[in-house]
Amino acid sequence: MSAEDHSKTYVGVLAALAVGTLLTVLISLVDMGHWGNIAVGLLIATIKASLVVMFFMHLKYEQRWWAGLVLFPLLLVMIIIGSNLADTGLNGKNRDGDLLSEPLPVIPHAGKAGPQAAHH
Amino acid sequence: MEHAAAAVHGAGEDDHVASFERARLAMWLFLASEIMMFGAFIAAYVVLWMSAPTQLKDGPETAFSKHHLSWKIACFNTAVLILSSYTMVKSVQAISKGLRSKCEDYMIATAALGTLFLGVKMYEYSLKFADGIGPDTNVFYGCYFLMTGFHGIHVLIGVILLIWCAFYVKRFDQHRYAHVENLALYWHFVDLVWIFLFPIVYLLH
Repeated sequence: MSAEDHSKTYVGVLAALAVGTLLTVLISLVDMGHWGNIAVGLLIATIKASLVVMFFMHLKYEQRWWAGLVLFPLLLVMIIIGSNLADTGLNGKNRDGDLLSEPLPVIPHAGKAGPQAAHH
Repeated sequence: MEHAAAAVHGAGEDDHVASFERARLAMWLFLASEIMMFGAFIAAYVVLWMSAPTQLKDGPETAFSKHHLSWKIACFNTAVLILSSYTMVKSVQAISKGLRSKCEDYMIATAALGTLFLGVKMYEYSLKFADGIGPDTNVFYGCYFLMTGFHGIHVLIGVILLIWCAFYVKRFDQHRYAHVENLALYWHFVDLVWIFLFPIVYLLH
């Protein structure tokens, strides 16, 4: 922990988080393809999260190995997701493209789901 | 005698610094387990999302339909939580300088913003329930209520701890504020989780 005055840093991080949130919404209005929107959305979220961890949570001023306490669980989560991806490619269909099961009950369409939907 | 007293005082300071560091380390270990818990929820969400049928036989709605979700309400709540993270870090900064009253003010502001977040979340839930939407509506809403519900419980616990800490602020000073620092770590973590939930749940399709 540092005894320095971080007031300006905190204001800067707050501004960056606000801009990041605005960007996340604006970018979801732009059609960059299914994976493009997901990649950019998650990239911005990761940058915002890094700012919070490094400056608001003071990890930047702690011993370096403490970063492992954040990165190791994240690695485990990545392994959980990665090890299950092989099961997901068929999107609930068999290899002929037919649904594996009857659809679940649906809800009536009553509104727009998000800025991306509003855009189309 | 004076030297001996100074040495004892110095040793006490060292012990105090070490115990403050241990307290923070323990909090980070707790947060690591929290990352695993929310990480498991998000992993389940991603896998179910990618497994969901892209088209159904009887209409455009899918098992992962997000209709009825309001990204505008969620965006407002994101701004509220980000601002609360700022007031929390200012609270820690104030107590690290021995400014108890300022610390208390920022802490109460953080608790108020957390309560506002919960109020908006309750309003959002009430809109869903009024439309007949619940955790059993489809796969997406099952995940939605699970993730935002657990997050909401974390916010509620944070608000209760903030009020408790503000009540006992006289016990802390510029040398002893591990409770405030650890509470801040917890609060920022709650903000962190929402930073990911907002785009994943509300914006990405």
